[in-house]
Amino acid sequence: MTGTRLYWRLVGISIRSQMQYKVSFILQSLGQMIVTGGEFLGIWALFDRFGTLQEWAFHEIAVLYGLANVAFSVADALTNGFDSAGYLIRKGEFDRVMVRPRSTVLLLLGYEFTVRRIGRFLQGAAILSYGLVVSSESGAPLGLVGTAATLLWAIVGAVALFVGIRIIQACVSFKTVQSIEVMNVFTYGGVYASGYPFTIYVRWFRMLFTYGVPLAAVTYYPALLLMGRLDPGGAVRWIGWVSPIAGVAFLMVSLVIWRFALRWYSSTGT
Amino acid sequence: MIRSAARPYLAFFAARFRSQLQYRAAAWAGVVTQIFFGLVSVMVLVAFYRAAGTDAPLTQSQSVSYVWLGQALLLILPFRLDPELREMIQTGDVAYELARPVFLPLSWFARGVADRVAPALLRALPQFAFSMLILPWIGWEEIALVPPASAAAFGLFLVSAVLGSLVAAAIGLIAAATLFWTIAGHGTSILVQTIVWVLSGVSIPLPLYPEWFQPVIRALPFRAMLDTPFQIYLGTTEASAVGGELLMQLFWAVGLFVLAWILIGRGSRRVVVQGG
Amino acid sequence: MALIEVDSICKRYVRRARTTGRGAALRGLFVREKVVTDALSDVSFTIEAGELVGYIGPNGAGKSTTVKLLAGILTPDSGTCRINGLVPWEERREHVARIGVVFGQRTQLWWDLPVIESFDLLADIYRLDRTHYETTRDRLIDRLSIGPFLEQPVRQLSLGQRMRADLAASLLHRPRILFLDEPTIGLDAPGKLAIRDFVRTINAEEGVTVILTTHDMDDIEALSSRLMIINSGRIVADGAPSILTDELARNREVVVDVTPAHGGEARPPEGTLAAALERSRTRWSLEGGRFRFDVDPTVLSVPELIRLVGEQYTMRDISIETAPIEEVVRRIYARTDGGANAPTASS
Repeated sequence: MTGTRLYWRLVGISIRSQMQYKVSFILQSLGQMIVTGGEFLGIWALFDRFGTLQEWAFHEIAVLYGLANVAFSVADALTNGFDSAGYLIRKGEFDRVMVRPRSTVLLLLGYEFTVRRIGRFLQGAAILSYGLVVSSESGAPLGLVGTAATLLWAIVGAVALFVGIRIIQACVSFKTVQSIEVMNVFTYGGVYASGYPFTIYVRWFRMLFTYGVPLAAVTYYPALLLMGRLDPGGAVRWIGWVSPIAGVAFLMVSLVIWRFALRWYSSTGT
Repeated sequence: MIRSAARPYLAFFAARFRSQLQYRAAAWAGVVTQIFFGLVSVMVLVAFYRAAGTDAPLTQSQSVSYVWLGQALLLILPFRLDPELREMIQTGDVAYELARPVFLPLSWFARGVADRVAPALLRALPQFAFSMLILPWIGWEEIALVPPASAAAFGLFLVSAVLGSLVAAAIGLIAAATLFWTIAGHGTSILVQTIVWVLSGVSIPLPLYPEWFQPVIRALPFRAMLDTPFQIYLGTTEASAVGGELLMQLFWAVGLFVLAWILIGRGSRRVVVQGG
Repeated sequence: MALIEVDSICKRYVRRARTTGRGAALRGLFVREKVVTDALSDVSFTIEAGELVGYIGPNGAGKSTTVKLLAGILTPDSGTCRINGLVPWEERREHVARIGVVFGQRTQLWWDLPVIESFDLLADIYRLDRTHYETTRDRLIDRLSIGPFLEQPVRQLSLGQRMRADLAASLLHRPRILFLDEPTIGLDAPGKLAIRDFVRTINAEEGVTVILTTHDMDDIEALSSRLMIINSGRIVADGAPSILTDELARNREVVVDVTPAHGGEARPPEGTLAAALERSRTRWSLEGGRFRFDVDPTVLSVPELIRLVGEQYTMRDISIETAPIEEVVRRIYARTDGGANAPTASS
């Protein structure tokens, strides 16, 4: 069985397992929707009080926020196996992954497809749709197909980026379990930060999330195209069509790091 | 007399407190994470203030300080149900606990306070150092935590923060007590998490919510956890009003605790009856 | 060439531990001490195809480190290992496709899936040919009597059922080598018998090489044709299970019931008996008029001991027993503790 087919098989099994606990699934999905909704309420309240965020309007923040949350919820659903790596190692379960004649990445991706993340996904998608509709009414130039294609490409890049971050997080958890919360800076912190235009941040922060962990490349620049405006920082207009590739590149790098981490794991026997 | 009556609860508090202090690596990680979230929030707020320059109820530096205080004391908030309590109630093991010669609601309350205050303290000090000292030192006064309005304000802030953690522990206890009635406890978790997030002041400073919403905030107990101490620290609560604010916190702490007590009493009777 | 060849493998764990003592809480924020453990020091052995090897040792002796190395999970610091001509940790995927591993404490099945679906999924993971797989599967189901609970989710199985299902799962891809880590732990007597029976059968009839770690000496007695004992990271004994029987042949437990000469409590030994016990370093106890001597006959013969006891006490009854196997193993561990200075008893 090829890797892809095995992956879908594992995903199917994981979904069926989760559906054995339907009440819990529905409550948790709803819960995530409400919790993330509470978060957006804060943004709304600030706009209600201040009117604008520098030169940015509410619906533009909605595009950024929605894009980041949609992408993160997908990545979050895909990577529970990596997110739980520390736990799996402590329980000795990771050894079971190691005695299978398959790629460890494939097996960890197939460990669970976390369906309840649909809560964040739907909430993000609703806000994103609102932002896109208002943007198009105020004259965003892409049209339906252009918007869809740009959006899809941005989401692919952003999901790849977040998956990459989770893989690196798992590498860190080989070494230390207690300090793993720091990685939340790049996952939850990353979503939070990319809910706003990167121009409002200070320089080093922008640099970190443009060149280090290229969040801006997968959310901010493509979002500019979607809302039909130019970067106040002076980047060329088409950059948003190219930049999501940075997320894919980041994923590739994280896979290389994963290989080294595995070797480290097997030589230290954490 | 009073001392000897309180002894088991103080001992319980001290034991939980010490055990919480052991998670040092986690505390460092938490400090870094919370400073990060603080920085983002602060930059966002500054951007809002710059654009508008309105007559908001808080000045920019007050808002910024409010955010830093919120990050420093974040762990006081009852975001999550105590997993041990949850399991005890859901499995019915609570029956054994009821057999002990202690007043159950109070020992759980002591545990709730210890579990919040100890890790919050551990994380608060390095964060204060960062936001009050390091930020101005590297030339970032604009987003630094301002010193307290006065020495007296600082003292009253500490008192108020302690009262705030009592209110938080009582709210956490009520949330846990609802587990006697719900199967999964998810509903409670979600509700508490959302309400606390929106109404405690960690999402955005409470005074920045729309004016029409302020009466609702003032009528509810959630602002008594963080917002009351913060406004005392910042001096936005008039000196003459501080006494009333502290009394209000005390009222909520006691009132909510009594409510939790009643709920636990009712709930545990259910368990005993069901357990036959 | 032997099936498994392990040559001078060393494995050392370095752990950073918290400091203890005064002010440790504060120092612990910044400083951590290194703690080095030699999990395996210069371990060598070979295992031929078709052997059934019992691998025992106290907790932390290096058993599971060895198994993890052989399973390709761990890389050693030095030394080499070839299994089927492959180096496990260098060609992990090729290697693990040819071995079966059962960790007694953890299931390899999917908790919420019916047993049969776990099997099917493993067939996909191991890329098994459908018809071959079905034949193997049905035979295993039959032999391990899994049929009755084939459709039940794993979380509903009893421990004994789960263990049988786990064994079947580890053999679906027809590995030539099977690693069993504590396969009978926590099982009741019939459960243990079923597992032992099955392991013996696949070893004898299908020639599967089995390496078995266990704490249960009955497993060893019932199964192994060869025994390796590891302690403090070194193989301290390796040979037929008779290495234990030799040890058994040596020491005797002599139990003597005595009546005190003057009534009342029997007094501790004196004079020549005390001297002889001292000289031969014989361990003894006296409780309620019953002596227990743990005597090495090459140093102090049993008749001599009894003669000396007879000089001092009136004897009512005598029994001579060989020490139980756990006791013998405990002695080997005790004798070989302390790593480098311990004498290495090899076959």
